[in-house]
Amino acid sequence: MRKLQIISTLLLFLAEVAACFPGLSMAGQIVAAERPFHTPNSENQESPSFSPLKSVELLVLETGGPGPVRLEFRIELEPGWHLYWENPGDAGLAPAVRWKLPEGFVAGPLLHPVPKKSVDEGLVTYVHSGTVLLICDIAPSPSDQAGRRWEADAVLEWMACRESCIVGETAVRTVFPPAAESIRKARSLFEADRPLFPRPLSESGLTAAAAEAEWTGAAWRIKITLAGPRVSQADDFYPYPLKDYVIEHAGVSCHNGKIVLPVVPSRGSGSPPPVEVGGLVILGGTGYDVKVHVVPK
Amino acid sequence: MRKTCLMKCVLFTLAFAVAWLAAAAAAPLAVGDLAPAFTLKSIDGKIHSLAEYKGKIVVLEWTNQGCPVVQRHYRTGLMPAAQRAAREKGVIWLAVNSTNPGHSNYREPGDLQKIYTDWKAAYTLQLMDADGATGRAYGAKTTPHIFVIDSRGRVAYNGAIDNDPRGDKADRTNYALAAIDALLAGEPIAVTTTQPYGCSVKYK
Repeated sequence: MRKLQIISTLLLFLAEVAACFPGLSMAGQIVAAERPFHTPNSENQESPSFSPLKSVELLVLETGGPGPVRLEFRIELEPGWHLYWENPGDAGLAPAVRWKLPEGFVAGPLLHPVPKKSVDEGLVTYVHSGTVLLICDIAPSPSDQAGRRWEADAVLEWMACRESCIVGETAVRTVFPPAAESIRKARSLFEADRPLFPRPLSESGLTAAAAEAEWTGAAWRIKITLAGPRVSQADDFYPYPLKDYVIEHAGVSCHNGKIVLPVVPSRGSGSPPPVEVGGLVILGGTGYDVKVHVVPK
Repeated sequence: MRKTCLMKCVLFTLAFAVAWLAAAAAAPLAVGDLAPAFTLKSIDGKIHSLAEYKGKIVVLEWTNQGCPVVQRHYRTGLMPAAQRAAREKGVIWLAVNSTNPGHSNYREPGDLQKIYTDWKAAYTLQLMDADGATGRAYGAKTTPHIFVIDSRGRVAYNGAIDNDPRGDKADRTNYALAAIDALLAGEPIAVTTTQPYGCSVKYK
C-alpha cells in the first residue's frame, strides 16, 4: 500500500514536471456425513474440547455413472474463525483430506470457493470463513458396478485461525447409493452457493496472453496482460500455489489489466522462471480462473 | 515559470531518491543479502547480538509456543533433534520470539524457559523480540520460519524448516540442516528459499 502511495505521488510529480515541457508528452505513457468427530490438537486458550468447526458434512452432489462422483464438504465455522484457501498465502495451511475409498477409486484435488484476501501486518493470506464448501471429484474404478453399496471415508485435516490457530482433523463418511432426497437437498443447497466458486476466464469477457518473466536480481517478475472490455474492473489476482517457487504475496498486483506476480525460485538465482502460472482474476467480486504459459523476457 | 519548473524538477529528483531508498528498504530479504544486525534479550535475561557470532553459521528460528505447528515440531522431537544436530557441527541456533505482549500466545520469559525445557529444546538461546523489530527486519512470516546465516554474515537460506507441513511424511528433508551441511562442505545450497508454513508471527 505504501509503495502504491509513493508511486502515485511520483506519477503526479512527473505529470507536473511534464507539464512544464509541452513538447514532452511522457506523462500519459508512463507504464509503469455424518457424525463427524473433531480432534483439535492444540493447547490454546480455548477449552480442550473446543473446535472452530461447528459442523462438517460430506454430501453427495453427483453419483457418477457416467462421470465422476462429486462430493461436497459443507463446513460451518464458528464466528471469527477462518480456514485457508489452496494457496494460504504468507502463513497458514490449506485443508487436506485422507481418503479411504474402495480399491481403484481415485480422489481428485479439493476445489475451493473464491477466498477472501486478508492483509495484516504486511502478511497476505487467503481465507474462507462462515460456511465453507470444498468439492472433491472421485473417479470410480472402471470395473465398478453402478448401484452397488460402497462407503467414502474422509478425514479432513485443517488449520483454523482467529487470533490464534488450532489444527485438527474431522472424520466424515457417506454411503452409496445415497437417498434421492439427500441428493436433491444437497444439490439445491449447492446451487445457491455456486456463485462462490471460480468461473472460467472466458465468462468474464477477458483474455490473457502468455506471461512474460523478467529477472530482477532476486526474483522473477512475471507480468500477465489481460485484454477485454472490462479490463479496468479487474482489481486483484490471487495466485495458485507454485511448486519450487515462493510467491512474494505482498508484491502481487493487478491494475489496468496488468498482473504482476513476483516469485523467488527455491533453487536459487540461476533457475528458470516457472513454465506456467495461474490464479484467480478478481472482477466485481467474482474469481475467474486463469492459467498462462510463461516466457522469459 | 522557469524557476517553478526548476524547483519541481529538483523536488521530483528528491522524491524519486527517497522513494527508491524506501522501496529498497522494504524489499524482502533475499538470499545473499547481509543479515540484519540485532541486539535482543534472551529469556535468561542476558543481552545478545548477532555480531557476537561473527564467523559462525547462525540459524534463526522464529517460534511461538502457542502455535500448534511449533508445538508439533517440538513435541515430536523434530526441532530439538535438528537443533542438536546443528550445534554438534558448531552452529549457533537462536530461537526468536516476536509474539507481542498483548497477544494471548505471549508468555513471560520465565514461562518460556519452563515450556521449552519441557520440550527438550536444544537451541543455543531463545531471544525476546516483543516489539517485532527484528522479525520485521528479516521478514519473518510464520512460526516456525528459518533463516540460515553463513559465516560471512549473509543469508544463505530463508524458509520452512522442512518439506513436511502436515508432519505425515516418512522421508522428509530438513532444509536448515541441508543448508548447514552444504555450507560446511563448501558446496552450493540446493534449496535456498522455500515457503515457510505455520501460524503467522503475532506482531504488535
